[in-house]
Amino acid sequence: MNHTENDKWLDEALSDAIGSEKSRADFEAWKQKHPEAVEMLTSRAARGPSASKSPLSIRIMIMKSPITKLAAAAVIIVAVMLSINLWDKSIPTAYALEQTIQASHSVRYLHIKDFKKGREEPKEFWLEFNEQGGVKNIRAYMPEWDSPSDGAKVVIWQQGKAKIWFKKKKSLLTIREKRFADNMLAVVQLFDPKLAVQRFSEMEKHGLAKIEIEEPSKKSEPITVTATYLPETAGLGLLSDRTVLFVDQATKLVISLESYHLAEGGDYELMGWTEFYDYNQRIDPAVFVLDDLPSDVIQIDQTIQDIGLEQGNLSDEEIAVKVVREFYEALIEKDHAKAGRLFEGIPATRIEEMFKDLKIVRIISIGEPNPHPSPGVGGFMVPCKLEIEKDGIKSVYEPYGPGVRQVYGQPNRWGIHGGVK
Amino acid sequence: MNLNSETKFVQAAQNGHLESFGALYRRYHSSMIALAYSILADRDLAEDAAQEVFAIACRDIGSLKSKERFAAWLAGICRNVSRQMLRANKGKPVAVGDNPAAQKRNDMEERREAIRRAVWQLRSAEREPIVLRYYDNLPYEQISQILDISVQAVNGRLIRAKRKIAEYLKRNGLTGDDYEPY
Repeated sequence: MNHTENDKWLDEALSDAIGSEKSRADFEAWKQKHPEAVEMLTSRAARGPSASKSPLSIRIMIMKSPITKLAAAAVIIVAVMLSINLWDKSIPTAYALEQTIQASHSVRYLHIKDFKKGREEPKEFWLEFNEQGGVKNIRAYMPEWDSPSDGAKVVIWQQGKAKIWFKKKKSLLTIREKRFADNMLAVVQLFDPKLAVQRFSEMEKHGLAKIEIEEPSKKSEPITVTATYLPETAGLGLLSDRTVLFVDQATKLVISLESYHLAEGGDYELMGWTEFYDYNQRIDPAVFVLDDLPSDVIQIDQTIQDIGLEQGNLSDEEIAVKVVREFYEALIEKDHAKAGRLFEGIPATRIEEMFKDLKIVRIISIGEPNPHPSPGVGGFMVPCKLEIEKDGIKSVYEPYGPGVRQVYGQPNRWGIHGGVK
Repeated sequence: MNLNSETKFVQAAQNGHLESFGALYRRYHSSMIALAYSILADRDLAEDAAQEVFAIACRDIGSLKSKERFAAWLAGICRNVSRQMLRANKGKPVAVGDNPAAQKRNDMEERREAIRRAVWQLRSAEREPIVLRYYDNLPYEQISQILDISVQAVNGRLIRAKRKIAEYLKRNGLTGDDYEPY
């Protein structure tokens, strides 16, 4: 074996022996576990920058001051003398981002439509904020294109509890789960105009974004605030390379927001846009209640019953196998209530109906669980073989799935989720 | 993320910008697990160590003077944390291959064990680049930042380490001739 071949087999062997399935760098989870460290870092912001102010933060100071053109010119001259590299288009204007942040503080109600290029139907959000500016109630409509397997969804979020109406699956799921709530809030925060503006300010302050403001002389035309993120901010999880805000001159509130992606040729391409309506127009409380459900919708409340099985000392793979075994054993014994508890808490009558055509005689085998192939779903697919009987004839049946994963909001419990056929 | 942009993130994090620290976390999370793994020889412990490394870095980032040496600074914290964990676990790294469950291992797993033994018999200066490189296919440039040595030195250490591993494996009857990737 020559040197190159030797290297190749050794490379493969080393990767195989010490290589890892990339563990997810979940910064959100890390933050939750280390609040003191986070507090220490963020408190540094309050103490102010440790180093000299960047040109960008100096620009903010300029923008904040009610300076005359003459004074502005003087500042620019001083800046040039100090070799501060102001942007070419940096024209001092009367408008400052802080005005929009200030104006947004009094917002209690907001209606948002979020459009994605090439998709007709927008995502839609109705938001009610509390007096501290935090989100109090959310109603969201997520079109089918957002998650084709789920279909269109209506989500109501209130007091840490989420109700999700899966229209295609004809089911209403009630869950109390922090991760879901955090994800929901994160989605909303992307569209919350005051947070977007705060984010701009922060990014500019730290030299990570270039902000350009154009304030038309015609008062009927909106102010445009263009935030272009530096390429290195890719690691920050921003959803676009450039964001343009359109701000109403009179109210200083954001009317719409456009998101752009930097294409290979260097042009910025529009990816989507968000429209903001009905600032502070009181939203009827009924909007945050789901009481207009069709009668055939199955209601599953996971906040009032234990779903699945407790993991105990079993490994993830072992509990996944146990869940599948007990699920099919329950079906064989026609214990539909137990099968339902193992399968998302679906009512017994519905389980009976779902599996009425499947007469399972016995479990032949349950294989090794495989990680679920769809990213983000989590858990495992557990291959198994069942002996079934139809019209007096026995045959082997290998069901799709079943998928097994941790139960939302019920730590250490595992259950079957959708996809059992 | 190049060094210049990384320096900006470090500066921003020193000024209290949490998301910039998050960008650094995402960039170095896997490599800190790998570095801790090279010391602890235990993946679970290494993941715990990496969590602690970032907690210390988050608290102490203000004390970092040379922003362009963030990776090397982080690696220093990682080595200290890992060694403390080793001491807490009383003694040497979890010996590769000492696990009683290994008795039933099949050929493939036995071969992996042999390779891991070969890696962990290296001295740390050679073991660290090997584990950093093969744990998550880390580029030479990033290994050089973490170990605070030149890219050429990384290359040299990897070549020497691989030669030693190959010799060790040969002495133990494992060569590339009978190697079939799975």
